Amino acid sequence: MDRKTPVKAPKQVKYRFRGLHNLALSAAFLLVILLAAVLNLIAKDRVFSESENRNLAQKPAVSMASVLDGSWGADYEDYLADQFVFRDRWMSLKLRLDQMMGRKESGGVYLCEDHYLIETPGNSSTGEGAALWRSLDAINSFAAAHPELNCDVMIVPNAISVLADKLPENAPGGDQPAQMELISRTLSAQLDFLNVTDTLCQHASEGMFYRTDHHWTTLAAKYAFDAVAEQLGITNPAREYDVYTVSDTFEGTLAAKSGSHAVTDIVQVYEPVGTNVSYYVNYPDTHTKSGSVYVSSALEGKDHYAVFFGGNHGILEIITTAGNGRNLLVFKDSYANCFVPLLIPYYESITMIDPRYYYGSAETVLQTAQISDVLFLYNLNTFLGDTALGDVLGAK
Amino acid sequence: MQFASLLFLFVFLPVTLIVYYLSPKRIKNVTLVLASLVFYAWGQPQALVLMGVSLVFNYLTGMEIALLRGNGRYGGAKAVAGLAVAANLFLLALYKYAGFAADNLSALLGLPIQVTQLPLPLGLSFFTFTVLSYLLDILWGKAPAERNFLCFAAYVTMFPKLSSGPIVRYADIAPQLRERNHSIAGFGNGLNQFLVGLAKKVLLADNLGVVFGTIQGLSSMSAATAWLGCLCYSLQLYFDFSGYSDMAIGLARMLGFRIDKNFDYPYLSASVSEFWRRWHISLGLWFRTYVYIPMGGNRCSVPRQLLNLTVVWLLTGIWHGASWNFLVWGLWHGCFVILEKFAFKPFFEKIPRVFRHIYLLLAVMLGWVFFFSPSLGGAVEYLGLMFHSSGVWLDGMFLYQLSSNLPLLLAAVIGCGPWLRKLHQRLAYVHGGAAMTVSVIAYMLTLIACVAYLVSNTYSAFLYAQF
Repeated sequence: MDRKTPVKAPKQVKYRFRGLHNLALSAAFLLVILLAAVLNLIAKDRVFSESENRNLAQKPAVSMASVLDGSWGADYEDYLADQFVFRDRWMSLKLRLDQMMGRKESGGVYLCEDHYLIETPGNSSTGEGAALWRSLDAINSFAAAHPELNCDVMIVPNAISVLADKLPENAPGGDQPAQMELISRTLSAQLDFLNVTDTLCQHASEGMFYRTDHHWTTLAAKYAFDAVAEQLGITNPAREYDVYTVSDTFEGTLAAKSGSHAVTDIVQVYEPVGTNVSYYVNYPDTHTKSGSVYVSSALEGKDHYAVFFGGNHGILEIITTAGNGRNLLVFKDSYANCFVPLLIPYYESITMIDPRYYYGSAETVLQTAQISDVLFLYNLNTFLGDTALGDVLGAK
Repeated sequence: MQFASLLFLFVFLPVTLIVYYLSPKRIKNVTLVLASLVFYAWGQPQALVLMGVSLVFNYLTGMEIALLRGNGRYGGAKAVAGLAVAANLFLLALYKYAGFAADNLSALLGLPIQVTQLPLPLGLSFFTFTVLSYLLDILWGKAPAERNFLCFAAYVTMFPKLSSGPIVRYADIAPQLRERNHSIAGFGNGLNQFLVGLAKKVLLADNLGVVFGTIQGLSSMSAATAWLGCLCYSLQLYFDFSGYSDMAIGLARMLGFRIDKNFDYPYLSASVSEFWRRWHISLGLWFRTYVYIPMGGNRCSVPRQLLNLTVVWLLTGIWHGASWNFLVWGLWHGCFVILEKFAFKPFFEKIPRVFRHIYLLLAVMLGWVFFFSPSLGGAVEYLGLMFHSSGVWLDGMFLYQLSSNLPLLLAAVIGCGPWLRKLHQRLAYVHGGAAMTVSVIAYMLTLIACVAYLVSNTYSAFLYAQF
């Protein structure tokens, strides 16, 4: 240290405000740190974060074992971050800083034009992996084993391909058209592949996807229905609908993932005009029956898309007064929830199986419900990585 | 515990500072040791046993060496020191290299040797080198043995440098363990450096790490993307480690200790030898003092010098981690140092500095490929990608990543030199007044930005903590 003194001495004179600067800095630092520390002590812990849509870590209980193996220390750090005072504001500040740095994605979500939030391909698709081949094999075997059934497959493309022109410049956009092509080629001739990509792309500017959520809109489902009704064997589809806006404050999962809360979405419900078919919905999982596919209590919660059927159910059936002898079985993910209500007037019964939550046998359902038509309805992202469909269809 | 964490900033640091400054002078070392043990044990309390045993053992051994030496029994002192060095290195080997050694032995001999690698205690590599410097300094008469156990414990465990250095020589810091000056000016200077280090780590290094992680995860990439990834890693590592060192030195200063700088703008060097005088200075000095010079240094025949250099660089490599990649990386740097010393010398200085600088950057960046790749094969593959093995020079990914991170990259490149620091000093320290106020506000905004990242980001550990 001594050897530095002669060099430093003249510097101190030149930098005569250094001492004052660092004094002010120390005071400001201690003030900020202590203030935050005290606020953290005072602030009440939250159980759930609305904006992140997840449960927050709570204060870990102290026990001899957890302290000694170090897990208490680690849990305490999680707790501190999750319950940090003004957490939501810190997160928006971080996002703003990211954007100032030029970042165009956050938490696996692209921040796109017109406030669209779109999942990045890295996050949402697992590519053409083993899961995809297994599902396709299972579907083909199912169709081969049931030549008497009318089997259709509808894989809905995601926002990343339909709204490709909204993505940031040069952003990797995945390869959904090629994946779609691969699926349609692999499916056997017994199955009708219903491709709605062109339909959705044509109407892309009308709002085919929620800005803040990964689902498609009811309008998109309606256009898709118009396009495939004939292939489904529906001869006289409704042309006119009454449109009801049930929510204009919907903040979806992508808002939570990205931390971007700039806009909210509108959720709409389409009721066909001029049909006299009435129906009820049977939910075996909760032993309840309902006169409507819409669950308005969902609008009081976070996920307004759950207004359709109250979310996903392992199995449910819709019994109608159509009386035309057609009984439909849908293997599906959540994209079907806003599509299936449009099918109600044209089937005597519709059974929906969500393989992710269903542990029964598909064959039993075929018998008891006297199924005549089968529809596999997935969005492409989910379909690429799904393993549950193969399980329910009994694939190896 | 990590410096760049909410726990450290908002719980550990304020509590430690308050208790430390309220403690009477006589018991400041007690406060420091206790705080350091909490810092050390957080998340890994079992390691306290190892720390305790090692502290007592090395404390007693240090006194034994000094005693034997004082009695004129240098041979005995040497033997004790040799045994103690071996014991310390054995511990390091057990925790750090057992798995690596077992894998290679079983591959070589075809025997099914399997070892469950123990979790590496925080900072063991740094801790071991600190203790070795203590024992050898006593043996060589550079410093007396520490009789006060608290002072010794404070030297070894001192939390600012415990987990990742700088490796402080005992002889350099011994006087400060008894008598150090606590002043507001010193505290302020330390805080200044700490905040700069925090910003380097949280704002620059971690964000560069995000880009690098994305690029490294790609299954195929153009040459431009591969170079961009390598650039990001080179910058990330520098800001990560130099930021950490800044925080360590700044914290030590806040507690009244002065520690020499560990980085001196290494990327501005114009040769690999110069790079290593400016990158992780304390490690280079350590190897020089305790390995290279005792082996004869450069005061011996050329073949012997070559051997000495090779040994030093192999050790430098393997110190960074138990894998062949680090050995190759060490040798890579060793080769350049040897070439510069023996082959380039006649003409090297005549080359314009800008070309020597480009040569240095290429050598260092290509070297980092071995550093960051998970395996030798992976390193070769990545090097291939950098040299166009994918058949694509430029792709959309490169343009996307570049445009997504241009301000970050610019800030990082500027941060590699002393320019911002000098400008800041000229503006804020010379005239005072408004410039000074703006500077203090800017520091606070930077701190707030760091907190925003710390609250939001998933936990990102300090790169050098694994060594």
